[in-house]
Amino acid sequence: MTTQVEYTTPEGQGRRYHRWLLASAPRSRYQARLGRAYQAWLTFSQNRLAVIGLGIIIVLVAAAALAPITAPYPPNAPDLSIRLAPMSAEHWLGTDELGRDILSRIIYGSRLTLYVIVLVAIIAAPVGLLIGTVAGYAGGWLDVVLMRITDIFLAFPKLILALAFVAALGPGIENAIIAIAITAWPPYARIARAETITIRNADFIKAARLQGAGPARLIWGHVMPLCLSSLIVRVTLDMAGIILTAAGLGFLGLGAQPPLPEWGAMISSGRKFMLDQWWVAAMPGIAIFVVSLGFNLLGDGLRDVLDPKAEGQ
Amino acid sequence: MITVSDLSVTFGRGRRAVPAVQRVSFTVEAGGLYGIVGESGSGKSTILNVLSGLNRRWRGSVTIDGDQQALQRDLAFHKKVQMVFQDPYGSLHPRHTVDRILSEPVAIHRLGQSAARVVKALEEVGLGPEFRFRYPHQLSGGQRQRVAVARALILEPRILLLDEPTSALDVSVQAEVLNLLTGLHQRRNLTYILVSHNLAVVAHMCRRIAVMNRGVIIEELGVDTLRNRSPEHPYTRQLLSASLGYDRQAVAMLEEFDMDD
Amino acid sequence: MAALLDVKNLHVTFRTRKETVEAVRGVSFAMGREKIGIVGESGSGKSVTCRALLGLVRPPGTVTADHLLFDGVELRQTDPRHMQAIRGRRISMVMQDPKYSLNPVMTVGDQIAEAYRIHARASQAEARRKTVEMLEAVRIRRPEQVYDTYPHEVSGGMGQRIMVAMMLIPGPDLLIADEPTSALDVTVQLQLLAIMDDLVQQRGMGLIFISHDLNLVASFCDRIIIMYAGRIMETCNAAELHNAQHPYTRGLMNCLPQIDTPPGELPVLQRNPAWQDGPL
Repeated sequence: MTTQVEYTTPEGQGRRYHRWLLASAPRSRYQARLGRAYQAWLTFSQNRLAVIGLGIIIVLVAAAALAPITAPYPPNAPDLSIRLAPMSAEHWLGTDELGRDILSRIIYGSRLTLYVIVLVAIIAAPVGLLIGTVAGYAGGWLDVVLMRITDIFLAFPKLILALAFVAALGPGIENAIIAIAITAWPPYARIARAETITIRNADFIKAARLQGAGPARLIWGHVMPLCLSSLIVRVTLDMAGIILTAAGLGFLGLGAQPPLPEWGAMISSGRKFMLDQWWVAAMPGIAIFVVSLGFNLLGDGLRDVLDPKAEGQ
Repeated sequence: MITVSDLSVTFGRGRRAVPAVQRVSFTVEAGGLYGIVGESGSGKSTILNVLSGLNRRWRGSVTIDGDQQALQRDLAFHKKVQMVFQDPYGSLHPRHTVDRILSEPVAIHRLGQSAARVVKALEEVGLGPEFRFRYPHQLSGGQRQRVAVARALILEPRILLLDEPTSALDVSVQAEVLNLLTGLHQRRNLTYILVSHNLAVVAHMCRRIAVMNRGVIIEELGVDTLRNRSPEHPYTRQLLSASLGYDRQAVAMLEEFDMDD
Repeated sequence: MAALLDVKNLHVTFRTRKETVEAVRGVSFAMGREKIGIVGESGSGKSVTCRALLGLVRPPGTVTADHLLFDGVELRQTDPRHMQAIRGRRISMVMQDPKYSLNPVMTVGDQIAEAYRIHARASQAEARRKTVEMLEAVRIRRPEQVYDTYPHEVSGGMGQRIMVAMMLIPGPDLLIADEPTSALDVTVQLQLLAIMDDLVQQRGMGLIFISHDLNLVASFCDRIIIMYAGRIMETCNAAELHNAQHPYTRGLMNCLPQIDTPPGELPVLQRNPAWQDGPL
């Protein structure tokens, strides 16, 4: 009769789900997939630093989502009477040169940060994945052509290209995103191609070809899922760099335009006050540092989990 | 059922060209059990790759079930001819469940009723439905090979090409898989071509055997000739005596049939 | 025959966060200067046993035994420096695939010479001479030429002969061969075994031959140890294998296809769970 008690207490429920997820004979595709994800989570959560990284990212997302609730002041409410005020009980991180609350601006700025990294990831990763897998699978002249195109884009330093874009299209956060995305995809193409070249000679690919699978099905269903692990790790680790590049563009005045509370732009405008009112530049800088660190820790943790050598043990 | 005539395959070009298969000809009748035995580099796997359509650079003529085969094969061909690979760890996609692995061919050929077919295929290879949603890393080597056989059978082919199907398995598991293959051959009246370096396995499974060395079939014999220890060609005799175990005197008499050293 | 190697109650356990695996559970055997074959399927613990002898089991693996005596020296108590002197100099190991056990960026000759100079004070010239001698001993024609080749340039059979040369050049008393012929063609296998046979006899060495191939071991070795699930099921003289008592051994022999077996079903090995607790 202990089973009855097990299933009714919250702890018992938890254990029941745990057993269902780890069942060795799953009864549906859904159960099998969830089970695998759960096992990955268990491995991931062993790594304390990775969990901290994940926590930081969750705080970032929460701050962005709940900005109107969590920010004590509106981000664009200048009050020149309290400009450059130090950290205090009313303004936890002080105020900037226009008297705006820095904490609130940082919280609202997290939305911009998220906007940039999500869009860059959504644009660059799939493009890189597609080009890399097609090049790797096809080989021959298609591979050569695609890889030389990749090399061309790889040759551009992000900031120089961004300057060119801005000169052509004008400053703004959308243009900054496009500029960053255009220089971010080549490494993903390289990674995807390297993985594809290893995979394409595997027996399971041969078996699928022998069933009559065409290249599209093979690339989409067989090759890409295996490239995803390395790609996810690389994208996560790149996030820090993307944030810094966006901040750099903002610093140069090429990204988000005032009065948007973009962290890089905030550092830029706080430059003048570095010596006496250091918090104006330092606080957004610390925010960038913490979020970058979070992504790096998360990426490291993901690499340990998604490493194919660890699979199947 | 299968007629191969003057088949030649060369890898590489110019001075670095390696003749993997040189003007090989043989015939397998419907329902036959044909074995090709040879050491590494003999070209036996290359022949299977040509027959299955994986290798598209060959010269000669290949006729399967009356149809002359072109370099490229069509969907109907793949329904008729299937292959089982050597490495049970490499022939199943690590991220696909058994169900996905088995339903893919059904989807490609639009046969429908994939769940029923999957369960039936698993049953035929001696695996219960509880294996349906497992991943390959949750299966043993023997179980993976059974799934590979199920995958080959789910399209109901007439011909099964077996490339060293048990070489990577433990001895006790090998016996189970060989028994499975024997049973399937009888029940479904399939035609087998079995390739292996292991003479005992080939002699056990096949009725007629081709012995290959360096791209050439040097002798074709019935399995009884092997059992009577009366093959003609010295290379076959040597292979036979080597397969029987270590014998210090016999080793001294081993000739070099290839240019090692 | 005085015992060259005496193993009593060897246990090797691997403890990870997920599970505990007892790879070797109470293995005991003794051998002199003879050829012993250890036969088992994957997971039987045959490789781990020999790695434990050489101190090659790393954490999370733990090795315990009543004693592990090599020529009177207790192997477990030996500190790492002395273990290094024993490893290679007195006990050597040849592994399965020379592709993975030879250093790809050094010439073959240099690797063998290095193996020699680690254990004997010798000049480069002396080491080179010894290496060429050794290459001749493993019947490589044109040893001077082969000296300067790289591992990827030689065939599997020659690569294994080079491994044997490298492992035997310091003059060990015991050679452990872990599936040395499994990646080779059958005629090349026999040639390599003949070389090992001759060298082991000439030098009065002991040989432990690990394999999954019962027939090969029975025809090559003097005595056979059969392992299953980390334990020894049976030990017998090679000549008496057909009289083997243990059902696992008999089952293993019966399920092998032979050239002479008529076609049809092969008797399948029925695993009896009682064997897990079987003979020690």
